[in-house]
Amino acid sequence: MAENKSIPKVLAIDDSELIHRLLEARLQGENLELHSATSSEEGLKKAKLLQPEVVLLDIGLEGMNGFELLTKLKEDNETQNIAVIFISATVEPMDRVRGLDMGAIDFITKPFDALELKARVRSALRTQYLVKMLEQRAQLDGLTGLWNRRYFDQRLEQEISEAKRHKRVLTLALCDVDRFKRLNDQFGHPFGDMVLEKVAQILSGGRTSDIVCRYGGEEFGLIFSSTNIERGREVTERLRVAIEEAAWPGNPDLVVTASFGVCDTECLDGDLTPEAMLKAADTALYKAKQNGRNCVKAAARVLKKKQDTI
Amino acid sequence: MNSNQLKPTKKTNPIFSDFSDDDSMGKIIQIFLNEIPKRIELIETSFHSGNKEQLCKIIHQLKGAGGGYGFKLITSNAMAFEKKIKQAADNWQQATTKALEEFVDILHRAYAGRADSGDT
Repeated sequence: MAENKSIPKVLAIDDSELIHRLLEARLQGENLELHSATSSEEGLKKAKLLQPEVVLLDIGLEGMNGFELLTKLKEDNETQNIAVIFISATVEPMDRVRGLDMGAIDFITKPFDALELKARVRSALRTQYLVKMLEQRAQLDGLTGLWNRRYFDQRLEQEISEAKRHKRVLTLALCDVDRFKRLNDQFGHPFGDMVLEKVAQILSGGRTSDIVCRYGGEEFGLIFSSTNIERGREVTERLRVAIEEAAWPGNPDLVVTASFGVCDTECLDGDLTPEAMLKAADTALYKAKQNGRNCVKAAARVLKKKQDTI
Repeated sequence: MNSNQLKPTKKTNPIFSDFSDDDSMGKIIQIFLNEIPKRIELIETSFHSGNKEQLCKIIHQLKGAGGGYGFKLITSNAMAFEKKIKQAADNWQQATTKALEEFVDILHRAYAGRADSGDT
């Protein structure tokens, strides 16, 4: 998985055009994309939309002042990790203390020195980059490079929430490598690790929008956004075949297989929750195992069943 | 311009930006200077109409920006003017007339120093 190397964004929120022009001139040539907002309301909207790494925030904004806006940014999950630097003409130490205590990471006094401004923005961007990298690494599986269980749980919850809000369908698949213990026992753990790496590589070679995670042990979770169970089944069937056809160095006759259980949001009878989706996918996976392994089994569509009975 | 508007108090002695030689600043300094008459008018209108809030806002903006454009005198005078307004009570206009004159004079001097002013 590639780390995010896109140009970092900086959002300046200040009601003075004089300051925006100055920032644009002074930050020209820096490796960043500068955006501007001239009111706190516009700033809040742009912070959510652009997800900048750093916000340069004036304290003396009309309406919602800088402190109030900082509180809003810190309260919102989407914006709470943005680094905020206060940039203000105030020289009151208590304002600085208040801002830093509220979660701002730095304070620049207007009028600012160009070199100091650049250095402080660069420092904030460096810190943000490292924080994001650590966050991302903490969510990756060390062996396969896929997202780990922690990320999977968070992401499934997010995706379900989005599916509910936008009334979109969502498919979840669980994949389990067949007879993995036997492979480990017969060929050794290093070979078992190689199998997991190869399967991970095949699973992540599907559609770019699919979210592939190592769920635990030899089990993988796949989240297919805006995808119904029929399409999810087609995708997993292709992946199943690719695993079955994979070649294993040093063991040309070996065939490794995997079983899949698939469900979508319309397979659930009660509330749409991560637990309910996982249970439905796990039940389907169990059926695939019971059915002789190396196959895809899909959960039944509850709505269809209800209509059938009418 | 209205009749209350202040004129430069003495023969204008231009001041220049500390960043006149900085190519990356030339264009925006020029815009800043060209906008000075509009800002003087706003300051004077706010002052004479008693619109303290509007006056404080524009002075605060110039305090924050002046030095950034290379005019430290604009920042220091704005700071002094802002402080006097905040300290003054009900008769704030009377108490700050001198500070207003000094501040507007600094703005006129900056404007006189712009590239196309004809002053040498």
